[in-house]
Amino acid sequence: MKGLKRTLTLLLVVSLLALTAACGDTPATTAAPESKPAAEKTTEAKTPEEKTTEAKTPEETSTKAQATEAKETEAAAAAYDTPIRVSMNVMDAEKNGIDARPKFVEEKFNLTFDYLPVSWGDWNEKIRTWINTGDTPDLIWWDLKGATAWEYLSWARQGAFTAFTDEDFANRPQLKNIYETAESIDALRCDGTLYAWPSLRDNPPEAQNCYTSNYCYRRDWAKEVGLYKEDDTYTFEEWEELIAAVLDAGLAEAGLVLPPFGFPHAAVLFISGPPAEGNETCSYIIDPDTGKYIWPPSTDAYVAGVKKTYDMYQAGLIWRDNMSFKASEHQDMIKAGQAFATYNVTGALNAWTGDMVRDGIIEKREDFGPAIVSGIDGIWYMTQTEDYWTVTAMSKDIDPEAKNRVLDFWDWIITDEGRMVRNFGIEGTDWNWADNEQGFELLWEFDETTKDYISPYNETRFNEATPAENSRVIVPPGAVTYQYEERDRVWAAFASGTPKSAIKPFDYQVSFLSSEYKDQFGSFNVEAKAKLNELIAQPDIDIEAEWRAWTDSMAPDVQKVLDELNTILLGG
Amino acid sequence: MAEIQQQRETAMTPGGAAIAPSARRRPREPLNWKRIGKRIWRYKWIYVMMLPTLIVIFIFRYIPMYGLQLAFKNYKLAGIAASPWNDFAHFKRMLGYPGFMQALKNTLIISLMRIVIGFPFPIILALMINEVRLRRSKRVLQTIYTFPHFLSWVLLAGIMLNMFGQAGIVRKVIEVINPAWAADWNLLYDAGAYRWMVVFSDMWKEAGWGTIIYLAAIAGIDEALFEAAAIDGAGRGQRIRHILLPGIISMIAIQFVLRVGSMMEGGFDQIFNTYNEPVYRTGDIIDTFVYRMTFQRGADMGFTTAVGLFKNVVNFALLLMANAITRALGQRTLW
Repeated sequence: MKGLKRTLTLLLVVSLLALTAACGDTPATTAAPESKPAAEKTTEAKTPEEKTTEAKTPEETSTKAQATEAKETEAAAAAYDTPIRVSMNVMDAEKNGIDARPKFVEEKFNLTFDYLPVSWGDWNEKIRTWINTGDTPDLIWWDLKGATAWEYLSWARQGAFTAFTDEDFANRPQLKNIYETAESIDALRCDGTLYAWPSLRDNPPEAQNCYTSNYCYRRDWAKEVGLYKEDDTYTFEEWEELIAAVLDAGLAEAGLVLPPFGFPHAAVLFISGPPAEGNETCSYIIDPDTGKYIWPPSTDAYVAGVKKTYDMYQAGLIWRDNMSFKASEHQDMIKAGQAFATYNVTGALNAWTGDMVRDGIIEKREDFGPAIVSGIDGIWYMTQTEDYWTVTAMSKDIDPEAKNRVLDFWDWIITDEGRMVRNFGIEGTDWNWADNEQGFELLWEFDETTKDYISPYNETRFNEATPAENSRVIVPPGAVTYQYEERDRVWAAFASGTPKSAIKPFDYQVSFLSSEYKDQFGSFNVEAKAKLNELIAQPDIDIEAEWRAWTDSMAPDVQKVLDELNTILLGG
Repeated sequence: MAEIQQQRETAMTPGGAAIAPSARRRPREPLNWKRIGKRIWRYKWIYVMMLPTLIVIFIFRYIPMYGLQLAFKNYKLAGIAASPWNDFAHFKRMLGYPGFMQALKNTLIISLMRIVIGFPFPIILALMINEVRLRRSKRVLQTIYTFPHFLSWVLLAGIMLNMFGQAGIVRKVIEVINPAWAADWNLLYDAGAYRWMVVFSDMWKEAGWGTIIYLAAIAGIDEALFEAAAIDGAGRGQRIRHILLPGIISMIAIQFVLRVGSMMEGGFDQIFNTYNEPVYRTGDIIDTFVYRMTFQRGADMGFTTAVGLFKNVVNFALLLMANAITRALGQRTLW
């Protein structure tokens, strides 16, 4: 009995120790089955000093370039005989790597991926944690915006990433084209070196890198209350009246519901005169009167936007529980027929309206579409942003062979063949070229209810292709074109100048400036958004006075940044 | 009653065994290493079983303390050791940071409210459960009260939104009673109401779990004392007052010391999942402040480590203070 107790005790101890050991670290990059693990092949982390020591003379570089060229030719001939496995952070990690496309990539490039999960809510948080702990994936896919560009520059200077060089693009024509023409390439250079690759936006050229951001609303309900306008064009007063009428008629439980990133400023500030860059509410702009940088939240136009947002929230036109939204609640409410209007959906109208038709929420797709609403100053604004959607940096530890393989893959995914695989899957199984490759036919199942093809890839992701380019979607013959038509209609209306329209320009210089106070304080957009939320929830306050009191309290720190901008960018 | 009176003057262990006052105040004997060694050898397998716990504590609690030096450095990716010292810059910034003072104040207020309102509640509940005569009913009640503890705050935040939100059942009921109140319904975003919601929702979730330790202490009290008191004519209230409460007072004291020692922990999980910008001014605590500064505002590892260090130093000081006060009151303490 005593022996049995001892044995059981020992077993318990061993198993507890094993559990402790199981808490240990697992390398992000794992071995491809029959090859040397990529993690083992990665280069040792080097300090900037070590890198400097290793810098080559021009002669050495030239010889190296020739050798590289020869090596690349050799490599191309030998194809990809070494399996490469790289890690990359992606959305919906569990949905990646499970359809035919990654298999196709594996067969073509001998390249496979480990997917590390991120979500809209924790994306940048995870990037920060990974980089600060030196535990990054090989490919760091990043929602890098102007507001956080200083972090990218700071980390690049500290040697967190592998540089992209001219040689990387010399024999990759698709990437080379982007490298030579994309506006953001220069902005993304840190002390002359590029460390992040931009995934260019899929907006049409006439969009001039503006977000296709506007309200989308239930046209059927607008008709029901008798306030519908054929061209979907409303003044802001008409828009407010429409939302109120729909609520009064009891058609919707909620008037306006907004995505978390745009709450509450998308309700008014995104579409109105107050300057807003990207997703920010308050980046710095030049005052046309003084020629000096100013902070938008302290301007009269911004205060008017704050006041209007407050009035709409207090009146219940903006759904009050929007304050608690964390992800897709706005989408759920629209799709369930509980809310009247939302923001920023034009690019997903096919999917949304398809679901709503199928679920009997609306009769036809056209019952839900974009509204063209002028701002409170009577002008319809679009907000310009970077020319990219996201960027991808490569870890300082990535194996050179892995880097080259990934670049080959990126270069291919932008070719016609690559785009077809990305959008539609495998030739012969999912689609076939028509005569002379002038068009193609889709082999997917056709849904008679939604009058659209059912994509076998609908519920899956192929995020590994995103870093190369967020390429324009190819519309297959016979498929639903609703969202593309609506998008083109919006841009055509914008270009026509009816209603009066304007662009709020993006300023690369300000966004990508890294300096003492700007790095410390940013543009105070987090603080501004928090204050706006705090104030609009309080009934019976003098919102204008409260807002101005807050901007005044921020003035000392804001002025430090403004002085810096005026000195560095405007020369005093 | 004389026996009960004597019992009042006698301290109890959590298990119910009586300790004479003289024994409690026995002067410390010098350490006898030989005897300690013998005891360790005798119970060697027990110590072996303790090993994994010690390893875990060492790895996850002591090794990370190396990183505390970040509070005094400007963090660089080259590593903690390679990061330059900064002459207490983070602490100077911290004390002048408006968000920090607000978070400190909120943490202390919420913790005090938890202690004043929330701390006695599991004790009262335990006493009430103990008075239930039917064993089966007692078990059912215990299960019902304990169950919420196993729900995460993520889930409970959703339940609270569904109950108290615009489309929630509470507002719907109020709409029937008085439509004007429902029109102004704003409970989840009312800074004045938030702390109360935090305290009461925490009580609802954790009170049942908190009773377990007190019920265990109650179970350790000698049944004979209750029987003798009953024979002597003591009523239910007198038995609670003169036997039950003295029997668990040491446990209450220890729990109190531990609670005071964690006053600077405002309950990150709960607050993070239930708060929003309108209630920052009353609900933002040190932990959520650190989280936002670290992950949402842009990573300043040094600054947030400084704030975290400050919090833990205050916590430790409070623990020592509470321990000393409890000892002065003649109760059992942590050490």
